[in-house]
Amino acid sequence: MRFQQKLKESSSEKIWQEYCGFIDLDTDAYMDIQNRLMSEQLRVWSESGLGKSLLKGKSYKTIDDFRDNFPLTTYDDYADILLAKKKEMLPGEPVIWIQTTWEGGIKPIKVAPYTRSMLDTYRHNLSALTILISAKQKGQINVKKGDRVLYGGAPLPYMTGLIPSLLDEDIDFQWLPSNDASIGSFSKRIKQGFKMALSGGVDYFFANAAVANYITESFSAMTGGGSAKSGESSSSKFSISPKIALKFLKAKYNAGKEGRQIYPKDIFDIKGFVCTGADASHYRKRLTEAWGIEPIEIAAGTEATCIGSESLLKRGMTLFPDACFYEFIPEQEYMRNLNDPSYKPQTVLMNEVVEGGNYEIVLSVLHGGAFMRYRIGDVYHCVSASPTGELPRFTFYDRVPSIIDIASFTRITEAAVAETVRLSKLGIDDWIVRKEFDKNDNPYMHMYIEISEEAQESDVISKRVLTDHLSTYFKAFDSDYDDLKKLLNMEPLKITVLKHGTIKAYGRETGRKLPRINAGASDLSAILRYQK
Amino acid sequence: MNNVPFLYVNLIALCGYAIIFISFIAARKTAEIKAFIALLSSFTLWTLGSILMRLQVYPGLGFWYYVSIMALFCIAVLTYFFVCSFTKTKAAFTKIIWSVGTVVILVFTALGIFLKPPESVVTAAGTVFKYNMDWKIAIPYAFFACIVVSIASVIRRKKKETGTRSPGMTALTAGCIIIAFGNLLQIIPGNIFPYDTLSGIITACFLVWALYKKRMFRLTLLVSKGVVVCISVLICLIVAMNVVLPLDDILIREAGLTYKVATTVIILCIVALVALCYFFLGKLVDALFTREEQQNRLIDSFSQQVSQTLKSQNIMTILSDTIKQEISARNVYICMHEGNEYKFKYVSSPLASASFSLRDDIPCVEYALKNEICFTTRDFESSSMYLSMWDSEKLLFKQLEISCILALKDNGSIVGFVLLSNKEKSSAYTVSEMGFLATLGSISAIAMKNAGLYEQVEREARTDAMTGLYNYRYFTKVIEKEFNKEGRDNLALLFVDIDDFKLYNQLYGANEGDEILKQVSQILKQVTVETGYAFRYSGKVFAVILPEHDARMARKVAEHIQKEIHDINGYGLRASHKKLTASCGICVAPHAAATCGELIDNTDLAVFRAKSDGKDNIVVFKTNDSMTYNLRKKVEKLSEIRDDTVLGESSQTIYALIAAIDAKDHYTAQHSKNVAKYAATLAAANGMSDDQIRMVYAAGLLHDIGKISIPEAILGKEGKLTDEEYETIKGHVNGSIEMIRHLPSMDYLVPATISHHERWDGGGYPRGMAGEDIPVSARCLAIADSFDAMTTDRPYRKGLSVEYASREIAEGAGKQFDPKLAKLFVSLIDEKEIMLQKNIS
Repeated sequence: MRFQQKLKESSSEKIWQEYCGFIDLDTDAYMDIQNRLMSEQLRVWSESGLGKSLLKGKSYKTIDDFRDNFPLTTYDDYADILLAKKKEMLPGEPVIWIQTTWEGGIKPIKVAPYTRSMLDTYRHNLSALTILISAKQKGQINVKKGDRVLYGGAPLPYMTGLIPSLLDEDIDFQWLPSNDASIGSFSKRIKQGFKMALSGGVDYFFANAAVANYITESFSAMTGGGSAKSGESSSSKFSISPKIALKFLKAKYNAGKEGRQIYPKDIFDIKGFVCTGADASHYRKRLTEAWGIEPIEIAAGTEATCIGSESLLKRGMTLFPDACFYEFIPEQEYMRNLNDPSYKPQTVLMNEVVEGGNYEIVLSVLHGGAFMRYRIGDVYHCVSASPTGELPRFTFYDRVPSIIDIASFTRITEAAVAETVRLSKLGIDDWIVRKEFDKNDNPYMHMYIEISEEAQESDVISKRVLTDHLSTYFKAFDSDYDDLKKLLNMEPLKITVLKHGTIKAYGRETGRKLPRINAGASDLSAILRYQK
Repeated sequence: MNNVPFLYVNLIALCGYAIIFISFIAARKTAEIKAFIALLSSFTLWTLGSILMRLQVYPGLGFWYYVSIMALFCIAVLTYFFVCSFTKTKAAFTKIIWSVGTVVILVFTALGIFLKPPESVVTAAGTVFKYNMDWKIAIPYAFFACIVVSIASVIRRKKKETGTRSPGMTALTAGCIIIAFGNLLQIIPGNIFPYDTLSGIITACFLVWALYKKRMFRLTLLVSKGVVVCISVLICLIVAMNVVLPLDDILIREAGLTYKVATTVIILCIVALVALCYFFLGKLVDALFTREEQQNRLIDSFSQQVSQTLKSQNIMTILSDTIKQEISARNVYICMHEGNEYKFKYVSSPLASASFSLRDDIPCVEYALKNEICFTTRDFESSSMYLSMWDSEKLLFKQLEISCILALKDNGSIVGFVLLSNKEKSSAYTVSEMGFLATLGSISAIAMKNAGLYEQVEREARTDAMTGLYNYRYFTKVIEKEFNKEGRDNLALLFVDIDDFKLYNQLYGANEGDEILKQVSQILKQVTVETGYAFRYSGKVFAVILPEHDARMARKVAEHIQKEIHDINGYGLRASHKKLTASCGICVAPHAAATCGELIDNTDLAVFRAKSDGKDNIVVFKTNDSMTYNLRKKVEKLSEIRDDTVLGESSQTIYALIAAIDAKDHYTAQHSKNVAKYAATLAAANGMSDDQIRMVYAAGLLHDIGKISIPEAILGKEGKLTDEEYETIKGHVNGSIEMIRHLPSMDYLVPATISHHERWDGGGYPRGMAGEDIPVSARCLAIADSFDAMTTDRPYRKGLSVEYASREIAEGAGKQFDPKLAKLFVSLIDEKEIMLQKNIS
């Protein structure tokens, strides 16, 4: 039965119980579901060619045994089989292969197989998501057939592209823009969606946080109420419904009276707002102010599907019990592993996490998924873990320290930066890169560099030149980085030139080798002081 | 306006209300029922007032008008109360508002402010009632419109909360719409039909239906045969009122019948109409309303049937049949708990192939324990427990099209599941059906538990604990049953005897031996799974009953078993062990056995021969082998000296004495064994009892024991003995007696031993006895002693030929030997039953 039919025929209580009942589970019941599904997944995966190749002749009968002995994995472990799309070696028949970038320009794309059962679970959890993001109280079902969704997610073969297709199987939503690949570039899709929103209104807004922020900031320009950030079209191109036009006039009057620009909340009355991406929390406040509703954070990934959702009722995401089997590496463990890659970090389970702790998440994808004990590289902060058995809730904290994620568009590693520096031939002797946020909470990549003494003499090495030069190489090397500028008009690189030899001297002084990616703020302050 | 249709419709409505009213008096008074009775009272008063007004009954038109209109004006608020009660909506404030408003409206109505009583005008078409309406009548109708909106709001809200499939909501909505619509139609100018009254009775019916759907009462309590009679009479009355006079006219005037005949025809027609009405209404009521009764009958019948059986398979069949009688499920699957699984045991359709098991941690178990035992898969899917269902389990449910699950719950645990697939028309399982299933499930769980316990006891009673095969006790039952089965063609019995099993135990230990027995049992189980039964017959002997197998087929089975047994020690740790073999004997009835006992005996003989002929053989019993087998087998069996069961407590003593004589004179020891064998064979052939044969055998072993006391020089002398030496030799008889006499419990051997040198003609020693005075055992020994003496190599001569010895014995018949026994002995030699035993090496 489709979700839409259930909305018509079933009671609100029953629908809530079916889709959102998991948030009221206690940890024991939650772990029962996790363990049962994992036991099936372990059996199926162990019997597959992929499982056998990774198990190397060993077999694990219990989940504890598996956790104790099977090492954590990364995409490198699966690359040979998955990139070649060797279906016969997988634990389940893949229905679709979802794609994402791997490590900037260093490595090509990553692909992840999705079985029918994974898609069914994903769809079910998306339906749950639509309820959770719009319910103002427990048990309330605000979802309706024909609701209009302004959709700012990337199309297929990216993971977000699955969302409209899957929800279409369950309920007739109107997608703004339509789920039609022929519309063209991502940028065009966003504009088309916005145009449709103006003509008939919006019920839900789903977008990457940076994209949502871009749309919000360009709102006045797009509606003709102010200057566009990058020469956006005026409202004359859009057909606005009389109702929206009325609201627009009223909003313009109120905004003029209050001396501010028009916000989307003046025009739209949305029921639910979903923001994805690494920096969602940094955009949260301004998006809430602009749209009149707090954006809901969800956890999702190419390899993992949609694994968790926040609700308007409680802060922090609850992870869906049937999408993946979750393990968590405590902060001290993943930091120790970062410093000593040979160290095998210990993991804890959902019923063992502690409130206030940061954890790198480790996933085993259920329902015939390929990835087991897989490190997706995301760190979550546990905002609530009640000793009374209430389910823990999390917020996205950051990518693991070895990766710089900018607006979830690109993931920059040490190898990617080193390659860019090498290609640029700028005579950069040493460097450190760190993700930072400006005064408006916009993320950027701050690169601290030292220019070699030879280059200091022979080349033009002004900060502007260095920034432009490196940006150009980053864009050429990593197309996702290029998209930041093209789609969101973001310039995420900032350069600070250090005195030559500072980084090494600081290392000698402190007796520690600083990580090149995301060194600690205190270390950076110390370096800046040290060079003086 | 003509009041005729008003009158008829109102009368019908009034009768309908009366029937419903009377029926509901018996129902349990819940809040919903009370609210409904109040509403029904209002309907009744409205209709009654209307009828009496039109009939202008005392106290007059005005009075009945007010009764009618005030009851009508109460309907809106009472409907609101009923809807709130039905949907469990509190809405206290709104109730007060509508109640107060209605009271005010009623007061103003009573004062005649909104609408005054009609005037009665007599016209050519009949009496017509004229109302003088003005704008004020719009006030109460506006108020009622508000209540209608309020009712719609409550229903809409409830539908949103509970969904359209909430029981009774559709009927409730329909009822409310109809009454509103009927009253709207009523105000159409020029209307002459009482749509409002008609809508009233239809609404009442819908509300009854809504209450029924919500299981607020049992229809069987309301709709009885008496009600059917009342309705039949009512219908006929209405028909008669309209039809009798016109029909009378037609029959008399048009058809030309006389008054009497016409009256008779009319009466007959009315009687026939009543009968038809009663019959068809009865059928209709049975079909519509007496489903509960049918369910109750089925449950009673089911209870009775399951109480009469202790076989779980029968219970499952009865359960499935009962379900199928009431519910059109395409298939009914039953799984029962075994080990850590729910194993598939039964499917209603013989064409449905199903073989599955569900782990006993399947979330349905927890769901059933925490909720109702009967639930739809849709309900189950709505629970968070469903999240932990495995993909394989979901797929199985999908493939089997399971849409309803009945858990068999006993004493806090789920002992089994009944899985019901979609119904024939894919309609949903109703609350009534689920209740019916739950009742069946409760009864079945107890019945299945009892049957399970009984079957377990029965299984244990007929199973060998170590091997898990059926035991000897059950073998005797099954072989008897199979042998006497009517229409049976062939029945093969196969004995499998593991060769040298005692040695195997000694070599590798009893545990290893037990392991071998288990493995052989496993082989037999697998071989016989579709073809027959396997039993542990005795220690190392297994029996296989193969119905409808001829000798050729049974031999194939035996060959397969032998091969599998050979393979047991072919691999792994046992590769270095002694090769395991088995001897198989087969007998097939009716060709080689006329009775069940004979079948067993002959199979026994066949396996014996298989062992005798070198082991690891398969021997199929042939009828003409019977005698030979019997004899050899009997002697073999009875003469096993090491076997305590043969010679009892004496065996150890006899063995010690033989060892002693063997040490002194090896010839005498071997001779004694040969004589014992020949004599026992002769005794068996002579039809002597087992005890006698045993005694002859033992006496044969000890008949020369007295030679221990004879000097070796005499015993081993190569030349002719002197008289003195001969006398010394003759003294061995008394020596034997002296020794045996002092042995505990062996004095019964004395007569045979002391007389074995007596002759039939009385010329023997030591006592010179003759003929039948000589014990028969001694006569047997005498012949055997002479035969062995002649045929054995001695230091002073070679052993004589069997033919010579045979002739000598034949010639000695009636002289030295008992003539009958001598003749028998010679025939045994001829038939190779007596063959030379191994000579002294």
